[in-house]
This record gives sequence, C-alpha cells and structure tokens, in this order.
Amino acid sequence: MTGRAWVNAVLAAGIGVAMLTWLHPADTDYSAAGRGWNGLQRTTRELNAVTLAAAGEYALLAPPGTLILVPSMLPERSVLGNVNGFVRGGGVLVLLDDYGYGNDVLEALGAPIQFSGRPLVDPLHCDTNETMPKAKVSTVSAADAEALTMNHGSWLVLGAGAETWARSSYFSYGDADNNRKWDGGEPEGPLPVGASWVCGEGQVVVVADASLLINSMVERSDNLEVLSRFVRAPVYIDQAYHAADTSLDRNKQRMERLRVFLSYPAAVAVAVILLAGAALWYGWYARRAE
Amino acid sequence: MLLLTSCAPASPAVLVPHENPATAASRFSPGDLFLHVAGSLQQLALQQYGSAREALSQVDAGEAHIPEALRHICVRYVELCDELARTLDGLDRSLSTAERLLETNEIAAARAQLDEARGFLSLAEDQLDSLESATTEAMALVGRYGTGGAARAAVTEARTRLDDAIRRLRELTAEYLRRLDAATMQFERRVSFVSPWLTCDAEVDAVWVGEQVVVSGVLSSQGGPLAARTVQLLVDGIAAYEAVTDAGGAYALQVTAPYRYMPRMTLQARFSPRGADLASVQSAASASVELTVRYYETSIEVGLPRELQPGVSTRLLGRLSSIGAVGERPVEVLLSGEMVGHAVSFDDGAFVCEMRVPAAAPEGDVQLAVRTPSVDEMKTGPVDTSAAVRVSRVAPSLSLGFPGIVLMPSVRLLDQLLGQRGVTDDGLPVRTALDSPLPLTAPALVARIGDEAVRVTGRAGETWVTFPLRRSVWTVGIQTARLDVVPSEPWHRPVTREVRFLVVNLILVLLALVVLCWIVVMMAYVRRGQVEAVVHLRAEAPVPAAAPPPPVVAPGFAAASHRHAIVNLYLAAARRVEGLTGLAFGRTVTLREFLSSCGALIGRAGTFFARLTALAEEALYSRHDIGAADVARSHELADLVEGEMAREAPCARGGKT
Repeated sequence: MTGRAWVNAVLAAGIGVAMLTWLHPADTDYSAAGRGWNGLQRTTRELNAVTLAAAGEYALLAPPGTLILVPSMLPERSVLGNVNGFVRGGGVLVLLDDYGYGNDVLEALGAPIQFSGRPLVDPLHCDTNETMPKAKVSTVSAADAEALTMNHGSWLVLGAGAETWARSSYFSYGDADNNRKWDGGEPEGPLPVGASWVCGEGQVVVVADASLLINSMVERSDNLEVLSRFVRAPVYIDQAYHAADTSLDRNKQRMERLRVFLSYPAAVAVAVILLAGAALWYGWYARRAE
Repeated sequence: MLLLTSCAPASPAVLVPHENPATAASRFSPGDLFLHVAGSLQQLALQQYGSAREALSQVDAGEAHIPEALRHICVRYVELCDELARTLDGLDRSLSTAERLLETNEIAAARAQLDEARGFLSLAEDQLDSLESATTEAMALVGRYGTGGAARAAVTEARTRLDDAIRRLRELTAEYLRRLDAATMQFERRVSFVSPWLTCDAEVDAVWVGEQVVVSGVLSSQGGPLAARTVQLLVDGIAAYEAVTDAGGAYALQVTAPYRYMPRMTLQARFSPRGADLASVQSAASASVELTVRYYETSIEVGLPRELQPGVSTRLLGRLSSIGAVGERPVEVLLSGEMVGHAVSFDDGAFVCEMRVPAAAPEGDVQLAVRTPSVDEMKTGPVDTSAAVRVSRVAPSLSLGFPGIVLMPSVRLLDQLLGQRGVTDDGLPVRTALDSPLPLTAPALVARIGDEAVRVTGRAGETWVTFPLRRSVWTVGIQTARLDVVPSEPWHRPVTREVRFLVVNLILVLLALVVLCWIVVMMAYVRRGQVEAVVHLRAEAPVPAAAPPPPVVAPGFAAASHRHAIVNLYLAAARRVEGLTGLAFGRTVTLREFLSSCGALIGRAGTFFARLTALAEEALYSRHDIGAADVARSHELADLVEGEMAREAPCARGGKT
C-alpha cells in the first residue's frame, strides 16, 4: 500500500469514528443536551435554561435567577462560595439529590435540611413499582392537589426554619437496609421529600430525588409544574457537577463546540475558502509533479 | 478530528441510582392495601373510631398502584369499611348519649337517642354481613394479582387479619346489642316517673345591651310546687344562671343582656333531678322566651380600591354613622386577616386611614376589610365591610431601540443618519426607554447577547444600555439580545424583552473578496500552465497538408520515446480530422473534448480515432510503461483512421454541399 493510500485510509477511519461519536446519543445522566430518558433536555427547554458547563462560570452567577443543581460530584469550595453568594443575594437554588453530595452543598449554605441518603419506598402510592413513590404537594386548595413522582429517591431530615411542601404517603417508609420490606425501627410515612428554606434574600428549594426532572419523569408527572412555582427567571442548570465526566462526553462537547463554531456564516465562509484553496493547491502541485 | 475522537470508546460506566420508568419492571402488591385495611378494622374493633377512620382515609384506592381490574373492588371495599366505621361510631355516640340522659331522667331526649342507636345497630349488622362476603370474594381475586412471593404472602396475611378483625367486630356489635337492651329496660322503668312542669317569663319584651332583666318562673309537679330544687337558665342555649325554688316552687333571676349586639336573645329554664329525685322525678324544660336586644347600630361608608400594589401606601376615606357614638372610634383595615392600617374617627364619624400592602404579599384576589369595634359604654354596635381586591405588581414599560442591522465596524455616517450608535470595545449601545406609573428608581438591568451578560443599574426614562456584543471578526449573522429589568421596588415585577438582529461584518466581506480575487488569480495561473503544455505539443504536431514536422518532446518525455511517437501519430490524425470536418483543435480543447465534438462526423473512422485518442492520453498522462506494441497499435489505428477518412472524404464533402 502506498503512502497516499495509508493517508486516505486513516482519514476515512477518523471521519467514521467522528461520525459515530457525533451520532451516538448523549446518554449521560442529567445532561442538558440528553434527549434520552435520563437527560434534562425537556426541562432545559421548558425553563429556557442556560447551562453552566464549567466551574469558572459560577463566578459570573448573580441574582436574580434560579440555579438547578444535581450534585453527583462534590463542587469545589470556591463554587460553593459562589452559590452561597448567589442565594443570599436573592437567587433561588433548586437542589435535587438523593445519594450524592447535596449535604455538602446544604452544609456550605448553613441550611437546616439534610438528605437522609437512604431509599424511600412506597408499595401502594407509586408509579410502576415501589421505588417510584408519589408524594403529595401542599397546595392552597385540595382541588389543585398535585403529586411529585420520584425515582429511587430518598427523604429529608428537617431542622427548625425549614418548611415542608411535599410529603410521601402514609404507606411509604424509609428502607434503611434496602430489603424492600419495612422492618422495625425504619421510619414510616408520611416523610418529608420537598422542603424550602429562606436564606438571606433568596431561597433554597430541596427535593430528595436527583432524577425528578429527567425527561422520562417530566413526561409522566407534575414534577416540572410543581417546581416551576419556585423558579424565577433566568434559569441556570449545572452541567459541571451533574455526572462523572466520560471521554465520550468530552468528545461530544468538543464536537458540539466545533459545530457551533462552524454554524457561524463567517466560519463556514472561511472553511469553504480554505478547502477550495487546498483543492486548487493539490491539483496544481500534482500537475507540476507530473 | 482524530484527536477529538481517539478516546471515544473508552467511556467508563457511571452508576446513578435511577431507572427508566418506561422499561422498569411493574410490581403490584395489592395485599399491602388489604393488610392496611385489616389494621384499620382491628382498631375499629377496639373502639378506636377516630384513629381507625383516619387510617382508612389514607387509603386512596383510586390512586393506588394496583391492577386496573382490582381498582373498583378495592375502592368499594374501602368505602364499605369506611361506612361501617361511621355506623359504629354513630352507634357508640347515640348509645352513650342515651345512657347519660337516662342517668338524669331526661326521658324524651333519651328516647330519640335510643331509636337512633337501634337504627345504627341494625345497619352495622347488615354492613358486617356484606363485609364478610366481600372479603371472601375480594381476597380470591386479589390472590391472582400479587407479583412475587412477598406479595402473595401479604395477601395470605391480609386474609387472616381481615377474618380476625371481622370476628372481633361481630363481638363488638353483640356487646352494643347488650348495652342497648339494658338502656331500653332502664328507659321503660323511668318513663313512669313523675313529669314536672316548669315555666319561664321575662318582665319585659326588650332590653338594651348590658342592662338587666328579671326572669322568673315556677316548678311544679302534679299540681303541687317542687320546693328547694335547682333550676338552670340557658341564655342562647348556654347554661348561664342557676336559682333555687322557694317553698311555692317559684324562682327569680336577674339576667344581664350580654354585649353581643345580636337583635334577639333566647332564654329557657331547665330542671334536672338530683339526689332522691332521680328515683321518682323526670327532668323538665320550660318553653323558650325570646327577648329583643336593643343597641345603636353603626354603618360605615368607605371607598375601597379595586387594585392594590405591594409596598404602596393607599389612603382610605370613610365615615361612620350611628345614633350612638361615632367620634374617636378605632378603625382597622385588614388584608386577608392581617392588619395593614388603622385610624381613629373624627367627631363627625369621618376617618382617613393610611394602609400599606406588605411588600412580600402574593399577587391575586384577596379580601380587604374595614372594621370598627363596638363601644359598650355607648351601647353602640360594631360594624365591618369588606370587598375582594386584586393585589398585583406593575410591569414597567420597556422599549428597546435595537437597530435591525448592525454593521461591524460601524459606519459613522450611517449611524448618524439612523440616530444610533456603533459598536465599541464595550459593546453595542442601544437606546432604551423605561417607564412606570409608579416610582421607579435604579432597577437592575441584565443585558445578554448569547451566553454573555452585563449587569448595570438603570433609571426611568430614556437611556443608553450597552449590550455585550463583541467587536470581533467572528461576530456575524443573526443574534439574539435579551434585556432583563429587575426593579428594586416591591410594587414592580421583573420585565424581559428579547430582540433578534442581524450583524453584517464588513471585515469578513472584505476578506471574502480578497480571497475570491486570490482564487481567480490562482486558477488563471494554473490554467495558463496547462495551456502552455498543450500549445507546446500542438506547435510540434504534423499538419496533414504539409510534411510532418520534426518531433517535439513534451516536458517529461525522452526524445524518440514510444510516447513521443504515439503523440505524433495522434496529432497527425487530429490534423487530418480537422481538415475533413472543419473543426479546429483549439488551445483550450482537451483530447476528449475534441473527440466528442468530431467523433460523430467522421463515421467509422471515429471508432479508430477514439482508440487512438485513448492511447495518446495514456502516452501523455499515464505513468505506465509504453511499449513498442503500443506504438505499433497506434500506427495501425492512425492508418485505419487515414483509410476510413479517405473513403469518407468524398461523401463528407458531398454531404456538405
């Protein structure tokens, strides 16, 4: 095989892999671009939200507005400081977590709320199975009663000053030993799953389920409608701490940036000019070689 | 691209505790529902009616996660249990009341309660029969739907506990039946007791609030007075006074009309036997006496607004009217029960009250009330009036003078003509008009273009707001700008405006023109090189009319090579074709183009000329070795072309003429 054939083969393979990477759906949990069942694309669109893709972007966060945070990874101390300043200045923090780093965020804010970090189970008032309990939301009138549908969620432990606005049913229980059976000593329902706390000029809204706003849950519940009551524009969705970063994600993000870059007419014009120039040069060079 | 994608397959798995609800395994456990109902029935059997009904009310079978085929039977089963709980609760209450009334010989009231208890007991027995048969049917059906061993075990346990609860409930109804029989016997014995007569009279028909009135009456039995007995006086149903009858059975009381400012007051005397009387005398109650209560009524006139804004002071003007006191009376203003203003009326009853809606008040319809309390010393009644008002926040009016097209860099003359400002290093200044019917000071403005945002402090009226439009060669195309206005006053609500505009980047246009020119020049240069090579060859090619010219070597060919020979043969044939067809082998025409233009005109020679053209192309452009066989083949084809064209020549000429 000649050198030119090698170059062509490698180029074709590279383009093929790039196409595969591009076409493979963004399947990361809580991804704002994720169209799958575990993405946040629908919520992002409905709330007209802006994503915070890197820790550095938190420095620009300023009230008013709402930050939706699903901390699957521990945010840096500086980021927690930025969030604290944002909330105390009048912003709203919507913190969705169950078994992640939500308690670290709440601790940084000094909130009298804690995630229990244990599974909440409801064999009777649930969606599909007992790990997807339905929680009643406190409303002004019983006629407007709405429910949160959780997905492998947890429950909250509240201190003084926190206000509960959503509770699991009478039949739910905290399955501390995860055996899907109520054992003596395990907390019985109703248990608080949604609470809020006034922090400075702002508000902290906590829900004990990280998956509350994923596409599949928003489709089949009132979750988004309920949380929309707390939301004030503009809305920011964290994408820096939502899930462990994978190389596929990183590559997709890079390709997305490239696509965005190429979507500018100027970039397209420059790319066309460069390609035309390269083709002309190649033809001229080949002819001269003969 | 390769760098971007090189590590794509190496994505580690991330464990997040959730699952797709669309594909998650559906699990039912209807046995849990019946287990809970059984627990409620067991509480019922222990006569814990309140907690049992509370537990049953938690079972929302309509919303529970159970198979649809079971939903109706579950809903009806829970309803039946709830009805049974209500019946037993009512039975317990009626029977207990009847027993208590019988203790004080209140025969008439006890009879009504006993009748009611009898009805409840009969109903409870019917409902228990229904529950027993419903349990048998429901558990047979539910047993088919449990998912998994735990669910089936729950059904078995529920069945056991339900049977136990029903057995205990049957024992409870039997106990109630025994109590009812005992109470009935007691009633029949007491009904033969002496029935006394009690009267009650007031000395006047009407009384002012706070004034006293004498109420008197007589307690007698079988024509004779009942002396030294205690008589209670009920004022509006509440036992307020007590008196002891004298030797003639008479009693008298001084009753003070309470400051309740109600137009009527009801008085009734009641006698309940005590001590030895319990064994021989029934209780008694007099007929009711109605007294008119007098006081000075107060009316209020006040103009209530229809709409209020949080944080804004509103002045309410009104007047109190009354024959009694109107001056120096406190006036309170309440919004949804919370006091938001107060004042004291002037001597003529007029008042001016400043009220302010709390800054954090939610928007919507609320009740606004104005009230003034009574003045007991002046026997003047209270008054209040209320109306539904809307609490709303005002949205400041915002207009953006965004140009439809933004040139970058800006053209000062054009900007001056359009009355706008060009893009600077800070961004794009845009004329912004902000206004409000209420005071608006220093609102926060957040100007955004794309992902970039700038926060500034605005002011009412017209001002220039600089949007973060980067002065860059890459800033071009349709852009979206958004301005969020966040007022600091509680009576304002935030406002947002979004505008789309086109950025025309003149630097890019210029750059594109330069590159285009460069491409044209480059193409011309490349083409010129190609043409020169062909001209070189053509200049040396044999002309059919004259003797063949000496061979010319094209660049890259060795002299007297096979390639040279083939090209010469081709050029000779081409000149012959030119001569026959009159088509010129121009400078810009390729071998193939010449063949396609003349091939159809030279008949069979065209076939041979096409093959010769292919050999010539190969000789000119191919890197393959050209051998003597190719030259011989070219000779042969050139001869064939020559022969065929010689044959065709007369015909062709004839055809032309």
